[in-house]
Amino acid sequence: MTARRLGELALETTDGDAEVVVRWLGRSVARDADVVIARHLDEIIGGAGARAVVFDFTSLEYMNSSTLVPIAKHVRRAHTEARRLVVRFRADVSWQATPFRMLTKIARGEHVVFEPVPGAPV
Amino acid sequence: MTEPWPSILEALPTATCVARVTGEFVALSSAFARLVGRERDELLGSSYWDLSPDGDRQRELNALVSGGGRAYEKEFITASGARVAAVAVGGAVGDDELFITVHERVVAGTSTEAALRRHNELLLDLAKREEIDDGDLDTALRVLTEAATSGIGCDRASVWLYDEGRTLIRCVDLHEVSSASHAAGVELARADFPGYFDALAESRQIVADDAHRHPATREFSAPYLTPLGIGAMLDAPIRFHGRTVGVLCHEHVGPARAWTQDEQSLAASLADLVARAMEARDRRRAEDALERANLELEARVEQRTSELQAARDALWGEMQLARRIQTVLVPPRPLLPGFELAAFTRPAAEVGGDFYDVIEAGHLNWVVIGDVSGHGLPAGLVMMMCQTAIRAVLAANPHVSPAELLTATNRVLRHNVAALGEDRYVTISVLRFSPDGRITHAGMHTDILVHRADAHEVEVFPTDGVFLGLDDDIAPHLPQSDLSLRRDDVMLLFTDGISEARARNGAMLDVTAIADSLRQSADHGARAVVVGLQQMLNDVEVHDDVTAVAVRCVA
Repeated sequence: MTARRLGELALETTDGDAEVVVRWLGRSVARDADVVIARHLDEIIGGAGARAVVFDFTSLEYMNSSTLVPIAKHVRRAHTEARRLVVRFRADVSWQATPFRMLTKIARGEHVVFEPVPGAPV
Repeated sequence: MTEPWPSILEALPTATCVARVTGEFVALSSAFARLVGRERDELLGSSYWDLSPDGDRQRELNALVSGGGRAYEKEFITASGARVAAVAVGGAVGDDELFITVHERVVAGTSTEAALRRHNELLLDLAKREEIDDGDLDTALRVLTEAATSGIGCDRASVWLYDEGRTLIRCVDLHEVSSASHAAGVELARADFPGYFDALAESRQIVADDAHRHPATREFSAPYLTPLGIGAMLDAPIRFHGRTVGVLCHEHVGPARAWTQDEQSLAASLADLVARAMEARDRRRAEDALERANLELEARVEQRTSELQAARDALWGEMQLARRIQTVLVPPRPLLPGFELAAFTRPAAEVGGDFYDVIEAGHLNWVVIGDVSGHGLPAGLVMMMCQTAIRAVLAANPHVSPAELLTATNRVLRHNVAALGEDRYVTISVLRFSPDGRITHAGMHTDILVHRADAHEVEVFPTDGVFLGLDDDIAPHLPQSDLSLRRDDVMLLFTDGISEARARNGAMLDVTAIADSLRQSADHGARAVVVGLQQMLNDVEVHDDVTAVAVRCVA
């Protein structure tokens, strides 16, 4: 497991045989989150190769709207490039449910899967 | 008194003379002329004091006038510039004449008290000379070679320095008494004079009483010593920073000469002064280099400051432009018939992407609130594109639905944002106010809060849809919803800069806190709602643009 600290946000990566799980922890509140986070997501996804990547937001305390920019970019890219991406989020937290349901509309398909988790502990 | 002296003295076998107090010779013996190495007739037309070193004259005069009959030490300067040490005795004769006879010539190679004193005075004088320490080596060397010829009593004194490879020594200053000149530039190669260079390498003085025979200097005999008439050499190594860097050379023109211990000591001291002058030169160079570096640094700082000022001005111009964009987009006096409307927008330190607009089109009124992701000029440009596109669409088709308005706006944005090479999204709500009181909205943004006056409760209307700029065609994902306001109900639209503001304990305000603020102020009208929100924000940390629009139904 490796962890990347980006201010108040941490990206904890666990490498498995079939998938790479990226747990989003802490708070993502940087105004330039798109710049700060994008490079790390590029590295993680590049290192995953053919394995599925799981973005797990269920333990994230908060993210601002700027954080959605790099996430949306990678969701769309996975959709376009037919790479397997799982987005796991909390359905009972509005700041997660609202944007991820929106992303569901533009990228849900065979390869990109959204997994709302009701009542997951923060 | 004068008349008998010439005939008497001429015959004397001792070195004797009579001179006036002013120095003019009255008579002298041939032995005296031989002692000082000059012709007798030549001396008779000159001054006795010209034969004495400067510092000795007054002392000798005192000895003759007040201490007559007592022997004293003195030096005579010979025709070749050499010093001859002697013990003399004499006294005053009459009112203005002096009788001097040389009792004993001091054995060559030994020092006299007078010579020692004179050398000390010379060194003391040199120690005070500013030329030695002011860093101008050429001038310092001229002073030192002149002091060397005077102090040692020789015709030539010169300073020679090694080249970098120590394969030759180059004369950097030569003082010649007989020609009263300074010269430089002659080089002596190790290959031609290996014995001399080897002796120099041992860093000891070369005391060549007979330069033609001395092992260290005899190589110079045919090519150098003989043509110049040099008979003796006294060379003192110049030590600088722990190594020998050259030599101070004293050359006696004439026959061989026995260098006294005192002369050797003086030569060493003078060589040390050459090193001191070199030290001063290096210090001066370092100071000059430092000064040049400081000047260059100052110039560079000045240039950099100028560049930074230019960059700042350019950046400031960009920031001003971005702020102007934001300012221009804010409607100056928004009016919404049938409603009381109050709004505020406050950009963060940098230009952000919040905007709102109130538009009348075809008897329909619209309220728009949005937030472009990111900040700075690009966000400002996208914001302007968005507002322009919305107004253009409404101008062309005033009866368009909110979803259709956003779909058309998205198409324009997608094209232009892609052209900018930017990843920008716009969270936006557009609300159409129909004459029947219905408010139809579309777009994905923060929740819409409505304070119901009769129930004194806040109703939350989530928004739905997708961000603008996320996909080419968003029409399938843009549902519309309706709400309506009754008299005194207050609707509050806001951007996430408010909901993401943090209290001192780090907790974000979230919708609940905003709804509480609305509940407390709604009864006092739209303006009070906006003021209440601003007061709430004064007590929290705001990191983003904040925008709020409050609409109170008054119809």
